[in-house]
Amino acid sequence: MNFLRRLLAVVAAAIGVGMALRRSSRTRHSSRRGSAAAKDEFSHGLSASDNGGTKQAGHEACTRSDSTQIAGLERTVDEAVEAIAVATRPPAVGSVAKAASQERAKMSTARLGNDAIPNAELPTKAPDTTVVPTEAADTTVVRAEAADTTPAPAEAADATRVPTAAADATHVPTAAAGATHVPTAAADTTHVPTEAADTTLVPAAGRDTKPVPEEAAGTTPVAAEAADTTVVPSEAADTTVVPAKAGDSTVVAAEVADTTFVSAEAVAPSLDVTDSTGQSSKAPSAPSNVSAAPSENGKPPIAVQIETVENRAEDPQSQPTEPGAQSENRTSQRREATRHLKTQRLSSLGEKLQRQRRRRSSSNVLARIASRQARSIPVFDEAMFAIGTNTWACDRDYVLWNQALADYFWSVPSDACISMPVSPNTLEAVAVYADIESEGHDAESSFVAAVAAMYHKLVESPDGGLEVFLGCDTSGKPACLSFIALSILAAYDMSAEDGLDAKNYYRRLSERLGFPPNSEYLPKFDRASFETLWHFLDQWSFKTYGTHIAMPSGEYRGLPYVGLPLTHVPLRRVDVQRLPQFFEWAKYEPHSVVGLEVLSHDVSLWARPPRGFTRSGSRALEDARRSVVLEQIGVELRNWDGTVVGEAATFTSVMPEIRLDFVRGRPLLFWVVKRAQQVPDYIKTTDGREFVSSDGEYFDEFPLGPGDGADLLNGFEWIDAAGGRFSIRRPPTAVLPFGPYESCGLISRRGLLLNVRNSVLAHESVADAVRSYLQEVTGQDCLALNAGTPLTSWLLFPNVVPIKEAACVPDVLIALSIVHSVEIDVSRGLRGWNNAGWLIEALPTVTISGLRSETPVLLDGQPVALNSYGEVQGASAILSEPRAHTISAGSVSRRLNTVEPFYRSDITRAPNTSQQKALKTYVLPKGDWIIVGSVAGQVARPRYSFPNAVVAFVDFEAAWAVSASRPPFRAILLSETPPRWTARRTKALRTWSELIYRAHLRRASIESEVSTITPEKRDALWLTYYKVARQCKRQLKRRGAE
Amino acid sequence: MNADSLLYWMTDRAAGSWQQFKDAVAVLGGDQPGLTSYLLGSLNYADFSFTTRARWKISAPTLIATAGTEREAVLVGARTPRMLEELQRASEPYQVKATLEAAGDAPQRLILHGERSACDRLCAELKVGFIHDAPAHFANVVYPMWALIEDRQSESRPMNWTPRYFDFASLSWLDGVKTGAACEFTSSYQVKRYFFHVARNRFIPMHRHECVYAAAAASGIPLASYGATERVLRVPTKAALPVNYARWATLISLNQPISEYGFIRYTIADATAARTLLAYLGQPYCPRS
Repeated sequence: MNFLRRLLAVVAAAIGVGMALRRSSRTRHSSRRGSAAAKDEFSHGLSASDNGGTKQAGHEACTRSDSTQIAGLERTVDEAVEAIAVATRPPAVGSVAKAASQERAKMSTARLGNDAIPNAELPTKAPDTTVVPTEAADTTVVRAEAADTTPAPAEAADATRVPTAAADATHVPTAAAGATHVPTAAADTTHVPTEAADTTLVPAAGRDTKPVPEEAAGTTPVAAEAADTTVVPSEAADTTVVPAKAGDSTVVAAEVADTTFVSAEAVAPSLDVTDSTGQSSKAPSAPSNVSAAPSENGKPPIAVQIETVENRAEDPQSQPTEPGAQSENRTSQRREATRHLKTQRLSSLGEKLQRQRRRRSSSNVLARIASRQARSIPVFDEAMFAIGTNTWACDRDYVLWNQALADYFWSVPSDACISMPVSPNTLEAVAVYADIESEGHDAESSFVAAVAAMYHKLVESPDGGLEVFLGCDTSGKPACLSFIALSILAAYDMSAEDGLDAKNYYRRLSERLGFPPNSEYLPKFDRASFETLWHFLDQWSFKTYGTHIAMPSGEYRGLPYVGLPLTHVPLRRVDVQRLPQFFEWAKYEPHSVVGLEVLSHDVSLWARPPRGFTRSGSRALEDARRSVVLEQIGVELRNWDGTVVGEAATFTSVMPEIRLDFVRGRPLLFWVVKRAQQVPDYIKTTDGREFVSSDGEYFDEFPLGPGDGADLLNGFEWIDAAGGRFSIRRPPTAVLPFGPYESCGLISRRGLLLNVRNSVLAHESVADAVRSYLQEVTGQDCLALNAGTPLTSWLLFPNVVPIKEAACVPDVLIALSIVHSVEIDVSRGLRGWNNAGWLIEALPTVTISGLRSETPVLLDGQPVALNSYGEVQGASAILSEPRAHTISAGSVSRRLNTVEPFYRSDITRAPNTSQQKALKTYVLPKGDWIIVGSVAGQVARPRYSFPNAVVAFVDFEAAWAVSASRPPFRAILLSETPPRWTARRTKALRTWSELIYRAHLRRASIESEVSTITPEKRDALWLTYYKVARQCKRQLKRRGAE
Repeated sequence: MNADSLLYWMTDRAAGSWQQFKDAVAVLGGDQPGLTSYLLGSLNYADFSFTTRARWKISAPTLIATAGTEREAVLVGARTPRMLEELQRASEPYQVKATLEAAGDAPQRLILHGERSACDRLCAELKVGFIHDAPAHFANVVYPMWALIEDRQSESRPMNWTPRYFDFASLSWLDGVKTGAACEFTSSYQVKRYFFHVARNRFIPMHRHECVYAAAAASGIPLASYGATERVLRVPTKAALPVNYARWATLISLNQPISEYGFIRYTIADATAARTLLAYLGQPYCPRS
């Protein structure tokens, strides 16, 4: 009987297990709001009251929390174990159900001390219940039951303070499932296994958690620091890591934070060691590894976790005492049953749990902070930094830009991090620095096209991916540099636009790479690889130059991937577009160089409301990036051409330059107007001037007339007649210095260049002052040209070679100040096609100005001499070799590419007439002519009948040209060929015979263009033709009758 | 000025604006970009377009059989030193001899001597076009003057521009406007535009040389003439042929045009070709003999 009873109990328990499993799966879909209800119920001890499972309401309420599933499962396990235990032991006094209920009530109570999530609402007082014993700290498990911040009644706290279940390894610690107890004070560290990125972490300060009490912070500064940044799993929202009274445990948290930064590989073996020995020094990171067990190790995270907990449970040191402990026999039975079920179910559930956790975590920015911090930094093989390790990214333009960017950004030795504020103007500066010219395009377009082409070619290929940019190109520069620069340019573009959010980075990157605006994703773009490229560049920078590149910090620290490029553009496009207003406000000259101190002072004054930058730009100006911002402003100023775009781009003003050229000894002046991006390629100004841009970059030059002198003196603004949205203006000036120009002649500049040939255009009113000033700076008399200038009342002083500075520059001649910096100018050469460099057939003259004495000038490392005008001597022999050359003078250097002329056959198409049918041309006097051939039926009409002549092209040998339709009737002999009969009955034959027959009847005058034939012969020949024509006519008539 | 360097630069650039061309000529020491462009255009090295946005484009390398000869052809169009080397090397197996002749201010003239069939094969190997019948080719591609007059839209006279007209008697530009004459209008900013003044307030925009010949055609004034006996086409220097006609005349003549005594002389052996050219140009009919 007893046996039967037991058997029934076992069957009942098995049914209960099945029901519980079904219910536990249902709980996945229950609402979070229900959690509280469930917790309330649980807190009133309802959860443990029913038999055969949990209370339905409690289960349904038990939220989406993944831990709930496990809790449910646990409960099922408990029930099963209990049922087995009941079935296998002698019945106690009272009903089996009552005994079981009591037993489970105990277990449940005990479990509540261990399983944080479902039972977290137990009114436990955190200090009492959440202290992790030192031993536990050794295993780095920050107990999730440390959770509830709700003050608990003392009795409840007492009831739950002993975490018996903590010792009980058969309990799957639900919170531990989310037990990513990575207390991420990890802010200042980064060496975290990559897998840890998958964990979901929220700061302890967030959610339902309580801030760290002052006393805790005060007692353990480390702990307080850790508490500020401590991160707990999102699932453990109801829990807190740092208990109020938990000085010890906070320290633990801090320790854990420190210990989380170990590699994944190093962690796996530490699990057993740690858990078995309890030696914290050996493997303090076990919990973090438990929670973030790498999937590569072949074990599902949950399984690892269980094992860890079990091991810990077996560790006597880590096992707290349990006042109400059950018998060992019972425990072992439960353990057996739990193992059986766990092995079957928990693994798959754990995987699902992890996936859900990842999904949820993706929306959590703060969690991303931690995951980013937890991301490992790849360490590259030394060989990857060798020259030529990347042979894929080898397109000429791409490599050219790669080298140019590297040379530009790493050219100035610096102890600080390298910042790459890539903007259109920076690219323009890079192009100038590296001697890259883009035919008909600005540097930005050329650069973007080069990188986009490479992306489409390499990355998008079937075997492609961003990894193709790893390694160094043939010049030893990282192949990824241009791509990274493009990613920075995309970040630079980020601003609110129509239909595009200001924060949408990837869409802008996508557009920059040439993908249509509606593309859903960037093909082959992998964010992890993207980050890897940045690390590669960083390590290359450190290995090559001993400096790191700027990496995200401050506000960008929390933006994985996107923060990388954003770090390098403290001022984005919308801010940079405001800079011309600042330059104008500060009265800076275009293309001028202003010291950083002055710039810093001025920009601080300017950037006050209502002026100033955007919020992000202002922040950058105020934080540690200020120096980068100032440098970026300096670059923009150097590239500023005087164009000022008004608010909302409603008005654009361009400052024209003036080119001076001598044609047959006569000075000529031309307006050189750069075409700003917004300006159309044709402008007609209100005063009738027309500006046409043929090449897109500049408006076509046109000469200055006599009347332009007054405009120049008084300043002018020519506004376009169509809408007044653009203007061309110059401030008033009485003196204008000219210096070397890339093309021929000289161009107006800001100041006189030292030791090179300048010219000065001066108004008569200041001619004397100019003369004496020039005498002072050149050391000799400077005479104005006798021939005069095209401008009325202006004088030209050619060949001005300043050799020193003047003691004092009069205000009116401030434009003639000596330029202090060393400048390398290239002029009077011919550039090849797009980015190609200078043609070796027409090499340029290199001029170096501002050079102080004894500074060596090196061309490709070889010293070269300068003539008295600062022109490099003997450069042709070196430059005639088509390659990249470098010329340097002191700290200034410039690259010169020289190339051979090259013909691209795809641009033009050669005509070929060898296969064409040969046509004979006949030119006749004006008339209504028809050309007839010697063979009957050969007839053609002329192609052109001009007022002066008639031109015919025929594919046969013409015999006669006959005009028989209207008087005068004529026939001109074109070739002396007898007629030939053909039996073909065609319309042409009828025309041929009719024409000759009619001309003969109408007594057409017979002429000849054949000089060798006599009139008699000509007439006889015509008669022959007439006879053949008559015969044809008769035959045609006869056939017609037949 | 080194015209060869200019040609190499144009070859490398392939196309560009008039401003770039002017700058390049100036860089190479030339001071007459207009004349240089005319020369290069008439020798079929490049095409120049003088519309509102003046531009140029290099012509494809093409071998043109010289009219009136059987074994001679001239290479025109794009050219680089490397291409010349390649041509020299490739021509030897075909028994074709390539020679370079100085040509004054123009790029050196590259002449190939050899059988037509051999030249054909050589061109096929080098992927160079070959025009066998130059007169017929140009007669096909050149737009007759009369068609030009008929097809172009007339415009109204530019206001406040300074006018001049071409006087056929003195062959020079005189101040004022004259109906039926070529007119030049200059703005106060030295921008010039050319028109054929058809009738009152009807001005047909044309290029400088075109409008002169259009006016001559309309008036029946002979400017160019062909002497059948001496086989020379004579054109006044002050009324040079429009560039496409100059190209036609140059490439069917046996040698380089010569400028002397106020005339440009083209030696054209093929009388029909010369007469066709004159007919296209709107010049009075020139009898065969």
